[in-house]
Amino acid sequence: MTGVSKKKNKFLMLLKNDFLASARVISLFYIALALLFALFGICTGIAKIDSLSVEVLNKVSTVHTVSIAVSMLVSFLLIFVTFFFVVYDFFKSLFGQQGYLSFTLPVSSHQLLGSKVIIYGSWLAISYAVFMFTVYFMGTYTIDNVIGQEKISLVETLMMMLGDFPSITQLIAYAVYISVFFFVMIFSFVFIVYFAISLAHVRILQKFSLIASVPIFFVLAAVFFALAMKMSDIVNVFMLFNDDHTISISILREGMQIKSQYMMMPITPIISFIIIDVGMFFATSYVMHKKVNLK
Amino acid sequence: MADIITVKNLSKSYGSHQVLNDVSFDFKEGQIIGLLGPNGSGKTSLIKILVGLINDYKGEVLVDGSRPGKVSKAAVAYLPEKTYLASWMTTKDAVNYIADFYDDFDKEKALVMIDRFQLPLKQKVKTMSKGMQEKLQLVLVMCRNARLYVLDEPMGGVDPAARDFILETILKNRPEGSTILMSTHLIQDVEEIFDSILMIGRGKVLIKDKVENITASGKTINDVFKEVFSVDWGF
Repeated sequence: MTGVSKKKNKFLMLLKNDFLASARVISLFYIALALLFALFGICTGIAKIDSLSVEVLNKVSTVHTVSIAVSMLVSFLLIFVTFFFVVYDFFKSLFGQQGYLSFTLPVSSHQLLGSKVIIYGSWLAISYAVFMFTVYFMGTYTIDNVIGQEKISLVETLMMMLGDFPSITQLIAYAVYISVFFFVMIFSFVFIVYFAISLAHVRILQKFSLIASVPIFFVLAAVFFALAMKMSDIVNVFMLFNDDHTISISILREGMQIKSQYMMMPITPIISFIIIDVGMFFATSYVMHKKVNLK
Repeated sequence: MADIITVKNLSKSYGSHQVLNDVSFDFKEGQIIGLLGPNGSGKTSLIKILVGLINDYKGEVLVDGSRPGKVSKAAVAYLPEKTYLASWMTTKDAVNYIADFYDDFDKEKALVMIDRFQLPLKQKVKTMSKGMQEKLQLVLVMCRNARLYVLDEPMGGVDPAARDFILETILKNRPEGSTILMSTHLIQDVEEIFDSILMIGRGKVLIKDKVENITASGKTINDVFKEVFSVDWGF
């Protein structure tokens, strides 16, 4: 018994193994993107050297342009690859033959699902953020230097936004709001995908396999979106950026007078989707635990 | 000796098709139990319930004193008929994976066995032959110091030489006091290792007894199996 393993936290082990399973492919795209950014940086640096001949400059300019175009393409592909893995890993590791191992691990279905949601939700959020950053960064650079329009740098845009906020508290609140909204939407998407795949593997739908999950996904997404909108009609909670540099949370009522000229951010849809996510988590765990039939 | 498996009034159906019908039995720990029955008799469903793959059933099931779930899964080593390892995994990945989840897994012993069975540590599962995949899964299961080993057709689809090898590996590496529940169609090849037999057909327990009682009349387990199923099933 000397070689017996030490006790390990099983949930951490799930996170570790889900990360390793996904990183082996997704990380290749990040590495490619990092190399393209490095190439872009090197080309930008070389182009600033005055003593270079026109011929060399033209070659550098070509590589530069290619690095911009390819990095935008790779960042776009990154979203598709990450989405593919969100679906593929969940399907393959739980409902394929690998399910015979996954479902007999000494962990609960809550832990199995929780680990996948955390790892793949995070990958999707990061990939989307990287795509947005790449498109913005490369796009503004192209506008600045290739198209020749007035310089719009990332820093300048941020400064413009900063200037519009009367206080740092409001700026932080805005950043937190946007981040929470972004993450809730990404995770809601992952939850609906996972529930649709799980439901497609109950005995009655099993013969259709993944195909059945497509209409389930769209129906659920439409219903939940309508539900979140309906909730906003019933109780419209929003965050108000007041003129006196403060922030307040209010419920919009008929005839209510809002003094602020600045900004109102709706909170009800976020709360609705958080509630839906919690419901989806327990519903998916239940289906995985009780109703799924492995072939 | 405590019961390692207790099943009371277990029923399982898929729609209108009943695969297990009010089944009750129990087994004390430390035995090798043969789970026998023709195709469609409910063997695989019973195994899936015991290992926690099916949780939607009626009746009471206890494995090592717990309902099939997180606790019982830590005490059960399961070898399914299928290849359950991810195709991208290497032998080393698979060993590390099992070591991450099972506290009773003996990694050193596994590495020694892998070396002896000539399984390359860096070879991916998808490039292995079926025989190599089966060897690897057998190592991963038998290097656990589990309370119960559930082996679903461990010798199905392999040649006679490989059968002997598999059987030898199971018997040599089984920890003292542990229980093995093995389903098989190859009764003749393995019947001498069984202590007890659970024969099921059409979702019912037909025979549940010690091997010495079943063979007291001079018949082999294989003879009894043929007798039971040729009468009731019209074979």
